Amino acid sequence: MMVYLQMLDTPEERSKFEQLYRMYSSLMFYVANEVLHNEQDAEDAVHQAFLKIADHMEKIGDPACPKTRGFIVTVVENKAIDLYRKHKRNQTVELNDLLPGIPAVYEGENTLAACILKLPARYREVILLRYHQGYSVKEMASLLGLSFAAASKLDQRAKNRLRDLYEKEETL
Amino acid sequence: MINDEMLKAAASGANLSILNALPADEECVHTFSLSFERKMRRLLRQERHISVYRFMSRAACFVAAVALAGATWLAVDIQARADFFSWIKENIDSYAAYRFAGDADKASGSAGYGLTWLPEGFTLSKQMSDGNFSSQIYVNTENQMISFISSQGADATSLFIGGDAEPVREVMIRETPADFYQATEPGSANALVWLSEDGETIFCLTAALPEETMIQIAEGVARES
Repeated sequence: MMVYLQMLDTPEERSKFEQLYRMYSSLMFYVANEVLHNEQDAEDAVHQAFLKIADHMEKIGDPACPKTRGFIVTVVENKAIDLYRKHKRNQTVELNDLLPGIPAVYEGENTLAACILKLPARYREVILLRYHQGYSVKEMASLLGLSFAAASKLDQRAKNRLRDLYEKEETL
Repeated sequence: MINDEMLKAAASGANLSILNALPADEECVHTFSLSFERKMRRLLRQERHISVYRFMSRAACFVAAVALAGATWLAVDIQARADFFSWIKENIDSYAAYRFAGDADKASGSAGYGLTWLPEGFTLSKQMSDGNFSSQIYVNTENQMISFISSQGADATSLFIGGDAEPVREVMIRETPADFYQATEPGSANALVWLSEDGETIFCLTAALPEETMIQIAEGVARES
């Protein structure tokens, strides 16, 4: 027979997941509410986001670093938009793909970064997950609740849209 | 032509801009609904258990291990806090988990419990005490062992029991209900788990001894002066 005793209880030893919860739940609510404008729905989106985050904890580094913060924001925005789509079932997928995300403006000199921020939320999330968070298409499919084929298609669409935007900006 | 390096640099800049566009944490305080808090507590609990499984699958992560005759004690660094105070029993696959869910600050006093009766021939071999946790190991000349631990939530957050045990049976230690785990392997230790009267301290007794003897030992548990 095996007997295990879990010991010690200090803030430093809190699980990474609990740290994320304590650090980001209110910010996540803010992001979700910006999309949904409904507190109950926003809480549901935050919960859905945490369920997904729990499945991908191995990819998360320091809870306090900007990369992690960005990941959390990307996931909750995605879940909020998912919920928004469910409430607007009469809209086509294509139209929903064009929904904007959290408004942000890039003030640097990297044209491509500015273009990423101009992308609809769905595409922006894909680019951020793939190229900032280092997610493969397979991992992204799991995180976003998509089939591999759908995630690949979304990935391709996002890159095509970004390329179009970038080329337009470059010719100006 | 956009290449991956360009995308990485741009995505990093875009990520930073999004974060800068969001209010500071202290500006977006939200009081979540009770139903949300309940769902999250459940999820946090599951995550803790997953963490424990990860620990259990990697022996190198165990910070202490004391091999007993047919039983193993392992102390694992991990945390758990909640906004209420109690020991909760849960079944996770083949393990029973006694999880401390409480505000450690509310737990008071030392565990400070010991055995006042032992079967003939057993003497104290090893003793460890650290704040609200204590462990005692008794041996006899035939190298049989009895292990007794007492722990308050302030130090020990969960106790997991599993392996070659039969389904748990409720037994009584005087007027206190206890869980008895009968080992199925010959020579393996049985386990007896119960709480103190005030519910703050969990006790676990393991030994390759008959149920009646273990209950008799448990009845002799008392605060040490």
